[in-house]
Amino acid sequence: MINQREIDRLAELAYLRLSKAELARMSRDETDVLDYVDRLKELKVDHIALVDERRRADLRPDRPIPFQDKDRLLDSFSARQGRFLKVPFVFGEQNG
Amino acid sequence: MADKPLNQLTIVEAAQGLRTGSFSSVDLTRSCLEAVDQKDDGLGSFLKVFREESVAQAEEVDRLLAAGQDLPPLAGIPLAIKDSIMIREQRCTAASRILENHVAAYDATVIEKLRQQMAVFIGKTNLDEFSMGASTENSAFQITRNPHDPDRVPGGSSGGSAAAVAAGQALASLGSDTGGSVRQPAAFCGLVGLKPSYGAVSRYGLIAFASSLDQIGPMAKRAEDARLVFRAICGRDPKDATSRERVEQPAKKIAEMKVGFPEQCFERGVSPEILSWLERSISSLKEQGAEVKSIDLPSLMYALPVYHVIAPAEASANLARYDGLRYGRMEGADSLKDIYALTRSTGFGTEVKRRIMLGTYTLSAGHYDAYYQKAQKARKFIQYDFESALKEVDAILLPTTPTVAFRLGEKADDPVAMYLSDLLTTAASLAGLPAVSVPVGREGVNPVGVQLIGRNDSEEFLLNIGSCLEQLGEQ
Repeated sequence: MINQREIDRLAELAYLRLSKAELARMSRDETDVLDYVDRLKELKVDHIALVDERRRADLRPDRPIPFQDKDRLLDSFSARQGRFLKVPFVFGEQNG
Repeated sequence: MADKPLNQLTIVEAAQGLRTGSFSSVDLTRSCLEAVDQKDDGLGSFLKVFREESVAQAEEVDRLLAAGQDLPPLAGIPLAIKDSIMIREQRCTAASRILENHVAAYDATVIEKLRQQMAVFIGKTNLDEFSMGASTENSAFQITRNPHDPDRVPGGSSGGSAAAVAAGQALASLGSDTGGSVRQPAAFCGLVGLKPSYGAVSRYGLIAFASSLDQIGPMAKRAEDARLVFRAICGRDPKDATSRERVEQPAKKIAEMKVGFPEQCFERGVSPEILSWLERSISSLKEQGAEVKSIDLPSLMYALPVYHVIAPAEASANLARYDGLRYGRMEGADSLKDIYALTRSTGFGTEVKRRIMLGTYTLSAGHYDAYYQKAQKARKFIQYDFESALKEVDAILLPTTPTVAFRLGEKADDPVAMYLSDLLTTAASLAGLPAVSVPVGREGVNPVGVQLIGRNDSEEFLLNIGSCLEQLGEQ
């Protein structure tokens, strides 16, 4: 069972503000899903190694590809100043 | 073909009719738009219909055909597109409030490719929000109903794309499949639905759900139609590093094929009606000369729990980008933290929140090894198991869904019951293998589909077997 404290913490980490009713439902639903997922415990897979099998040659060169229509992308910003995304102050209030 | 309304034609039939001048692309497109007008208030397949744009695209095709030009196979064919695939200058919502007013700044690569084919876009179709669901009841805007029985779901998450084709509102459609979202609605709506091999089709311009699983795939009335759409959209794309060129495996006659059906299908969770259609499919393939035998695939029944660790984990990371600042709606507040939280809390629906929180949980310190790492190892086990089985047989035959389409609201309050609808489709997704659902019959009015899973890059091979099986559904 995911308890109330864990659900509160998960909501905070995911930047979700949920009502008491939503939190209670979430706690019940997530517990049900995890109970189902727990059937993986019967599967013995400790011997399987997790390695990245991609070859470097398969990857494209790490070079930026300029996007042709930047203005159209910038139009998606909720607020902008010129070419910049406008957001509230990141570190506290403006203090001159 | 002569007696069929134009919107009921297959792509192959329509392409032939366009070239012989039996009808025009405008006639064909208007026939689909009429079906939208007549049926969509009740069905809810579309979130947006491109009435004028689609007729303009069709007029251009007619002009070129009249001038005697040799056009690509999909020229003038009306298609419906899932609203998680970007069409430039059109809204793309992923059926979420958080993207309610988002206008795509570019075409997805699959759309670019379909434009090169001169296909006609009828509109954008409904889906479960961010492709998370199996019934299309999780859309923030509307539900979609099954054209075969309006009290039942069309499946999901690409339910709008499936309903649109089944209702004659488009000749074929694009959906996306993360754990069954093309194949399951195809089965529920009596269509062919193809999930390509991972990397066969570019994901550029597809709104991401779980990036190691997502693939765009066609839904169509017939296997031959799905083949035409697949050929048009596949191929390596420099804008998607996971995409690659395909090398189709050599074709075989049906009499040379070995097909395996997993014993595990008969163990639990699949309804007797569906199993009886599996048995009929086995008999049909045997009658056509294929060798069909039982195989052991122990990983099959672990795929769904693995999927429900990996997909939410990837979703929680992918959906972190919806912060209200760069695109989508923003709920005003004084601090960044409040903007994030208010925007996301009001913009996401319940199922999306549930999966983000589950993903956050399984990725968090203290649970990572027990859930995420275990699931990744189990995914490897599934991949090895399928690889081994596909050395023994050319394709694996199994039901697409455990039941026929369920009733609207039947599973809405029970997430695990809803997830079980994908019991048999998630394995191919986790293994990265191609899989196709083919309609083989009906229980009452409800279509039944069976699924074929093959080796990497065996899409055409699977569609060949699909063509043999879809004849069963016509008997």
